[in-house]
Amino acid sequence: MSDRGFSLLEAIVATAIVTSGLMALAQLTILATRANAASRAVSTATMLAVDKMEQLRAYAWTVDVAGLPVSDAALQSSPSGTLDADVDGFFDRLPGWTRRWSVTPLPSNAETLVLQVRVVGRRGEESRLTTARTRRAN
Amino acid sequence: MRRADGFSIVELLVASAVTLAVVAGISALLNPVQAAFQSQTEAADVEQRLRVAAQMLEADIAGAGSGPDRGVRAGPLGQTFPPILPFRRGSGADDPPATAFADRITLVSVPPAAPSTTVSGNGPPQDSDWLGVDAQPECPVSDPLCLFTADSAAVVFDDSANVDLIAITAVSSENPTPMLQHANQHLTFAAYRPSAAAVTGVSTVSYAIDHQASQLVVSSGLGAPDAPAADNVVALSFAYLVDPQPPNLTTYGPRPPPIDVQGPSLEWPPGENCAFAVVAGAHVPRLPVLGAGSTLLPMALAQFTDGPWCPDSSSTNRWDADLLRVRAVVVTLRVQAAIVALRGPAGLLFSVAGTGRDSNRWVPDQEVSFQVTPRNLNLERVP
Repeated sequence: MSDRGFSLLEAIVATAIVTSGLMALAQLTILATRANAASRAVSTATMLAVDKMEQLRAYAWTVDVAGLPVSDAALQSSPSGTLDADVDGFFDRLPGWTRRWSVTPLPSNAETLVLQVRVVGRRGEESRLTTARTRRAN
Repeated sequence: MRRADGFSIVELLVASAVTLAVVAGISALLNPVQAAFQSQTEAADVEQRLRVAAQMLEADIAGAGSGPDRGVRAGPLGQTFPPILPFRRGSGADDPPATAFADRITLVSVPPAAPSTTVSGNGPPQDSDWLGVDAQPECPVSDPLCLFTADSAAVVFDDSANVDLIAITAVSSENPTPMLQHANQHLTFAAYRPSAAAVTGVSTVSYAIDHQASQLVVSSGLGAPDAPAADNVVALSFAYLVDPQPPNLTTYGPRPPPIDVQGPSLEWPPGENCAFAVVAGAHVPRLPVLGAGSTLLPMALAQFTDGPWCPDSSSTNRWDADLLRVRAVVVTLRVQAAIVALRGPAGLLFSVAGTGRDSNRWVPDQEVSFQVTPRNLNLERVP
């Protein structure tokens, strides 16, 4: 057995190993921070999508006393592709986010609308909601 | 043989340099890691509290206004009285009449399959502790009020803008007139028309913010005390979007008495009530048209405290007729970090100042604003 202690080289190698271990640990906190930020982004996107959906629900889509349909102009059928590109009347911008939506009558029943909202963030975070709306809920 | 001359100065220096480098590296990491450990858990917590509070409010507001599914007054409650009120009513801490607050809301709804019957003409006088009601059609003869229970809440209303929330204290099934007891809570109106006024199980929820404790508080059920719904809520506000079209005879609103007939309130001339006036022998809406079409418009809170009052300005249970027009609510909610050390000075990031100096450790307040469109208030609308 050598009783000359560690050589400088050994010490440096050991330091390098300890450092890489510590770096891996530090990486964990960065990961946790990122995961937190990502979940916040998705929550925000979903909340914005719900908000838009509620706005679409607030437009008149009903029948009057005589039983004739009453439709708000904002609920006219949207052209195709409004979820993937900015089409006038079917998108709005909020700080950091783009909201796009589409209004499509069911092919089998034009009285029922399929409403879709897609919210996309700057870093590609997104949330998408779909619902159906009938002329009368009862 | 062992050498006994120890380390040379160079060895010592190198060894201390290496040790120092390692210790410096570790301690440099320690601070941010600890900060992240503390602030990230709290940030996740803030997010969670915000989500829970937002979802509670959203679900309750979206369901407001559901009415009885059967009986004389079947249909959404918004036809005759406003199910969304900008003040607290039916809670353990009610607001006086003729007030409105941006940070308080009361939501009234009839749960699915709630018991439902009508006021009877054979009961005791309506200003007593007992309300005579008709037997429920779906109940056996021996138990005519089988679905009503003591310690539940009911709403009494007809189409004349009168409405009363009562906590049922006892149920009497004795024939010929079954009765509901509502001890020590006198009806604000004592002339509900037999067979035309509904008595229906009801659910009331009221939300408010306790600024002292920074809590969102909720009272669910008539007279229920406030219970905390979410901690560290620092701001809560409700804004209202209304139908530009006023109540008219073919849409919503309490029904006026026939032309030249005096209604239940002497404050209004014959043929009129809080929502309808008579001009040239015909009923016209008392409230103004606010805009063309059916797109909802914002209405300032002051509009909800200036009348016209329903059923009239002397009722202790009065409400502004403009509340009938509410079709959507915009909720703003702000939640802060629970730990003072994670909050900085008051300003844009923090509503309530904390003690944190290191901005690396700050967990800023989270604020959201979202619209909720109650389904039952938007079934029928005329442009």
